[in-house]
Amino acid sequence: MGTAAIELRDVSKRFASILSLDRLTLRVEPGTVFGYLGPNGAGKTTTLRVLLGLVRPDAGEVRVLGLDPRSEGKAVRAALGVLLENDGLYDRLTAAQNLEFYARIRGIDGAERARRLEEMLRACDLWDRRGDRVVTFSKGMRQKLAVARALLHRPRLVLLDEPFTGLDPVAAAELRANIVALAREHGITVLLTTHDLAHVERSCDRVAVLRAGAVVASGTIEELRAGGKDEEVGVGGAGLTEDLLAAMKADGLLASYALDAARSPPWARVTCAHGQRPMLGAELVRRGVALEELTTLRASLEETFLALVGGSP
Amino acid sequence: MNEALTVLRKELWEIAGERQSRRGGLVQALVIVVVMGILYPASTGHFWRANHPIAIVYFAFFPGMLAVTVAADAFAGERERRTLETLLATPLGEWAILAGKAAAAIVWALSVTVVAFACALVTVNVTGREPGLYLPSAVLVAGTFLGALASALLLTGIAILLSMRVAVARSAQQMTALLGLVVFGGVAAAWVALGLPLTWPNVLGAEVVLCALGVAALAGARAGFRRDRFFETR
Repeated sequence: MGTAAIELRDVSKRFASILSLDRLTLRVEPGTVFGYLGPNGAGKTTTLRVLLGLVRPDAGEVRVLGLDPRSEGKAVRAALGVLLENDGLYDRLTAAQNLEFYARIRGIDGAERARRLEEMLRACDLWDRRGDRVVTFSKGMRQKLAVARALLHRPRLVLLDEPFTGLDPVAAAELRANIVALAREHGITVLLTTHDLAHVERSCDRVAVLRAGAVVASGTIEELRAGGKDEEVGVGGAGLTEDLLAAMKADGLLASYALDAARSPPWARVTCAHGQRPMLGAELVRRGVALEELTTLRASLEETFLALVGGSP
Repeated sequence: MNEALTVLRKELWEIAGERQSRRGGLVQALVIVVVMGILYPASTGHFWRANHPIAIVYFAFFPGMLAVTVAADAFAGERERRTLETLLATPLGEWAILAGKAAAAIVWALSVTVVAFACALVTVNVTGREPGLYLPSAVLVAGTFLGALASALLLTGIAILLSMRVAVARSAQQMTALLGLVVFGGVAAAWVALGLPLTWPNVLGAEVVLCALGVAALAGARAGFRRDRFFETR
């Protein structure tokens, strides 16, 4: 395996009596859009600060693009683009001045700076408002400008903390498409924290769920949904009875079932015993069920997320 | 150096961007120009013409107070406006951030001093009864701007030190103003206690000492500036 874009190994950080990160281990491969999920206070912001070298972990190893933020913080921060929890824009400055300030910090000079500023301001539909002070902007306009600032220097890795906050559905969908394009077309790695699971579902290649400072699950969204459990299947058809399902369970074909006999035809939610899913349809037919429905039931990402972090819907 | 200039430019843009605020820095600067450039020299024109150090006493105090409003905002203000974390997440060096912010406060104070001094010269010429054009001596000019620099340096250093440690800019501003009064009051008291005559060599010497104290305060601020200190609480 090559160098990870982000690698944290057994990272811990305590603030007074609060353990913010608890032996956190996380690996983000280059060129992926990685969703970093967790309830408020789970340690997401602390993780981002550790990656930026703004918080020194008490223990563990951190590598960002192969660099250690503790000893090579300047190089790490030069390689990253960030949009933190607050947009960090200067209200008294105009949109163009905000971008120019950050372009100068990034060493983008002369004609290239002017060209890049125009490109970014046009991309976020703020070219006509470039001379207006940011204090006059709506939340959505601010957010778009802050994203433009994060991408101004074409970073290899972008950290986006709640980037969809305040955006209308159209703007959010545009941003989501841009984020995916960054990874697909330019190979940029994106670490994305958000509470909006619909965006995660549509944009992230992999996700990690954080609870109390530790990763409780990680993988693709499908892997998270499965959660290591056997698949749930909805089956329906005449002949589906309590006795038949009990017999299948006794024969070791089903792990569990819940029959709704009142429906017509009868319908049941069943969980196959490990490895039995491919045979389920044939077995039901063999036992005399006139099978009309056989559907894999997918838990929503929200249900999965709530189950992982101990919340209730 | 480029990094510090980038921060300086941004700070000056921010000062200029306050122009729509009635309580903005420009209003305060205007008040100081009126006091230092018109009201005070109108009543002390004879000291200017006599080349007496008392003529420039306000110039060794007010520029520092002007610098405080900018310097106190350096970190506490950015924290209040929630821009500090994004700034610290850039590759800017700590020294560049500090130097840029301190330079903005000092440049701002000295710029207002230049305007006030020019106004003062006009006022002395317009209000004076003596014939002929009044032009200040080289020592008066040097004393004016060294005094302005000394007060701006010292109060900027103190304000930045405090700005790193308090939650809101107004607290840093008030505490620095109070400390400034103590420092300048202490200098005046020591002057009287030592029985020092108010001569140019003594005034210039005191201004150099205040400059050195200002540099020491800035060095202290630099020593205490570490990014992770701003995030020691969750």
